[in-house]
Amino acid sequence: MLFRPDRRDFSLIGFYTGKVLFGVGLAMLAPALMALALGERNELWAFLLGAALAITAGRTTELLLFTREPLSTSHGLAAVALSWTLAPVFAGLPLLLSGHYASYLDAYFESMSGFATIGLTLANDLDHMARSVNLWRHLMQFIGGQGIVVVVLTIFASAGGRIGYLYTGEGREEKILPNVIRTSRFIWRVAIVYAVIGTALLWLALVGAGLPAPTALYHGANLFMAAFDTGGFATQSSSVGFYRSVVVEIVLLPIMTAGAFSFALHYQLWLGRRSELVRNIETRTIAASTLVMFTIMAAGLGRTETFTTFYTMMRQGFFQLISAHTTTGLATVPGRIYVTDWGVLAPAVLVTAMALGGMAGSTAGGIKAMRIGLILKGVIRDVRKVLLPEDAIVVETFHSSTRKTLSDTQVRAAATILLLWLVLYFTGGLIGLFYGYELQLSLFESVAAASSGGLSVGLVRPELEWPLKVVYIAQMMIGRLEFIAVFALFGYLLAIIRGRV
Amino acid sequence: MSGRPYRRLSKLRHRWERSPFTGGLVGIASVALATLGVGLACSVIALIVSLIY
Repeated sequence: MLFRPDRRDFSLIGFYTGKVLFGVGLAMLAPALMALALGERNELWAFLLGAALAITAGRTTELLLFTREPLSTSHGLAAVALSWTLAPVFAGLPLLLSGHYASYLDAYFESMSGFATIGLTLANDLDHMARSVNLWRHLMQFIGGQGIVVVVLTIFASAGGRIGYLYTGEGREEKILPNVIRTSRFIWRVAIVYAVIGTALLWLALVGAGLPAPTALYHGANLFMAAFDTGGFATQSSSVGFYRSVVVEIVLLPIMTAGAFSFALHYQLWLGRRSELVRNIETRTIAASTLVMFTIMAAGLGRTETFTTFYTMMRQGFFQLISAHTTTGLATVPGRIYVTDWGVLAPAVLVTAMALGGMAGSTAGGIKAMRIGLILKGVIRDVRKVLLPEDAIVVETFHSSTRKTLSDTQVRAAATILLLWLVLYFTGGLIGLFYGYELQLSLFESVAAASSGGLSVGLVRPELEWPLKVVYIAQMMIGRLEFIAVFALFGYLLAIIRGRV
Repeated sequence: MSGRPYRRLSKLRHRWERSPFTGGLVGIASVALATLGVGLACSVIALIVSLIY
């Protein structure tokens, strides 16, 4: 039985949503500053308007719904889902006013794609977009990759215990440090330190590729945000292919991989525990799946004779596979080529890689290596049970920071989420089929949207039917928040309509 | 007097060890090594496949 939410419920959900909107408004001031510095006047006003609206809406909501009550799980989850629904409403405004988007829906799509680190774009004439607007697209990925709520937790939060549910609602389960605030601050420390190192390396590579030093810095910073936050937006319509530089691609590979590694693993690596890389169930799963998938991809590309040399196959194939597996979405070839020139096996591998995704508790999306690893361990345990004498006790363990014993509950939970992911992927694929697109194309794009993979075969474009844009927006959000938070918000909406007083 | 340079060196080392950039460099270097390892394994696979086809 559902109970109609009362003022207390609205206060708890609205108060924290207001905080997030306020944070998004403040973030818009960064591209506004850039617009001011570069003399992009129209963009400056657009950012100031967007920031003013978000800050006003956020602060007003906070003041009107002020509460000191502790958050419950359902309130926290609903607040996260509502924040993720409303943040693109304000973040999309400067995009719309830039003139590169055909409608508000397109601008909202782009913002959701940014925050959820998807990388699918509906921008018209991306190559001539104002630098401040392009920076905002990438900044949204940086903020969304770490987690919009984590940003707010880091800056505004004063008490960790009661806001822990917000952290969980954003698709993160593992607290690296005992306190949620300290955990979110560590996440930001990792992101900022890697940003300095990664941008410097990319700047050097881009200068080497022939870009002027200031332009290289701008491209380097944006590329870093797109790669580390597994976002996939690019400053140019031809993505990484624009630079025609193998050095840039080589530098991007570990940055994308770092983005797909969990912050818990980064914590271990920061402490100098490099053996964790070899022992961790997720790194093992990702390494094994990369090897298996690359073998299939290489066989597929070999059969179709897409590439004439070993070097080009390795360069294009490996970059695309890592980009897909880390759910980044940066590409060195136009997306349409995957289905026209790469045969059947290679695009199927890319879809699978995007669907599997990176590690749990990272900026990557997809089913996650942890779940795949746990399910495989569960299968191994069941096979061993069958082969051993009936009274034998079979214990399966796995390593994730510490050695843990595999439980039935963990396997069951992983299998349930896996099932939900498959439903999400196929739903988008079926709706694409309904609109007359081929199965291969519609499934590719559906998985790219839901898993945050972001590689595109060209279906996502401004002319795409609006209901499909809505479906992809929903997939992006559900995938990024990993179902539960969206279900909680949906439950509250249902309770408003059908709940008992 | 003779202990001063050592103390300065030890202070520098302590500061280096405590710096977040040290952790970051170690972290990104480890990730780069892991990527390189998988990349090398994949290049062996690609080489075998290119020999077959």
